[in-house]
Amino acid sequence: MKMNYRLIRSARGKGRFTLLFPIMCIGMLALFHFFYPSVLARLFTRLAAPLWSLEREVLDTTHRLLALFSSKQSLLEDVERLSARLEEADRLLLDRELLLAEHRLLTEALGRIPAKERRILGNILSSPPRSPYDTVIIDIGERDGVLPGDLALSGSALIGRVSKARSRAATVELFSTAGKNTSVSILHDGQAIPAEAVGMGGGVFLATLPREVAVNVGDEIIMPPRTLLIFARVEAVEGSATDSFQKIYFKNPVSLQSLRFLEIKKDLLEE
Amino acid sequence: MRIIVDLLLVLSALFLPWWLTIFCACVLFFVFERFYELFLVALFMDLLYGVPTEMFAGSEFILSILGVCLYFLLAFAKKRMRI
Repeated sequence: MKMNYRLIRSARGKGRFTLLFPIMCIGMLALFHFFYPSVLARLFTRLAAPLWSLEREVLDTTHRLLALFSSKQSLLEDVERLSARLEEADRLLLDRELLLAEHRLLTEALGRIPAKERRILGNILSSPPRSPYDTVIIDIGERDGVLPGDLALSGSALIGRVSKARSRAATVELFSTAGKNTSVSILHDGQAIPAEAVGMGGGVFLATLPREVAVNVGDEIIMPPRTLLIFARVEAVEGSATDSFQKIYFKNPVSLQSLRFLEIKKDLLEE
Repeated sequence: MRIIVDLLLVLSALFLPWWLTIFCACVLFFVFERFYELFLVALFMDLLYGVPTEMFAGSEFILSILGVCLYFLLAFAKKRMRI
């Protein structure tokens, strides 16, 4: 008599293999990374950089092509709107040179000669929300003189610090990285109130201060001793009359999504 | 087919938000057998974007750890779902 046997798969053996392979993979990668900590990261960055550059080129070309089809009326409206904004910005910047000269004089009077700074401009290749770490990758690295610890800026706004520098790319860790603590000063009525800014991601920070400390929305925040660079601006103050402390939310004045370049400079005032 | 999907997953890690890539990998886990790419893509993103994070005791492999956890969790769920 012919008998048919049901095929029983060895679930136990399969399960063991399913577990063993990933564990072996992770172990091998961990060992490799332990002995050669930057090899894989450098390799992946080198592979990714041209693709990011290509993406930028494609986006730019698309925007240029789309601009050809935009109507004259909308272009005129844009020109008017931007001209008005430029005029307003010029008006606000009128005293900048005066203030800079005054700052230079005061610094020299105090015996601290400001060092000449050199800024290196880098293209942004990748920025949040692509990265889960609130990091930005730029297309300049060790070859261009970028080193870990350098400051990343956009004009006068502090953005972050170079965390890793590879030969042709660098990773900038934003000050707003979730959980990152930074010592700052809140400028209010000519006073500098020291505070600890805790990064919350996306350019937002939180500081907790006693309720008695006066802080208003719009107050500027600096990162001492870098007094000429703006760190953030107070966006909201939370706290009821019964609370002992107030929560101060502040935001970087520059939106990373709108940026194409970052400036890198040596942090000469690093403590 | 799987190679094309892997390539697309790598491209998504480069051009899409990280959570969308992880979500896609989780969906693909139910499509393919032993989808190790789930934690490999997480490791790829960690090596590319990762920096030591104070919030996670200075670790720069948060996504890889998340990827491994997700792998075992989804493997458990997949077994129960008879896919």
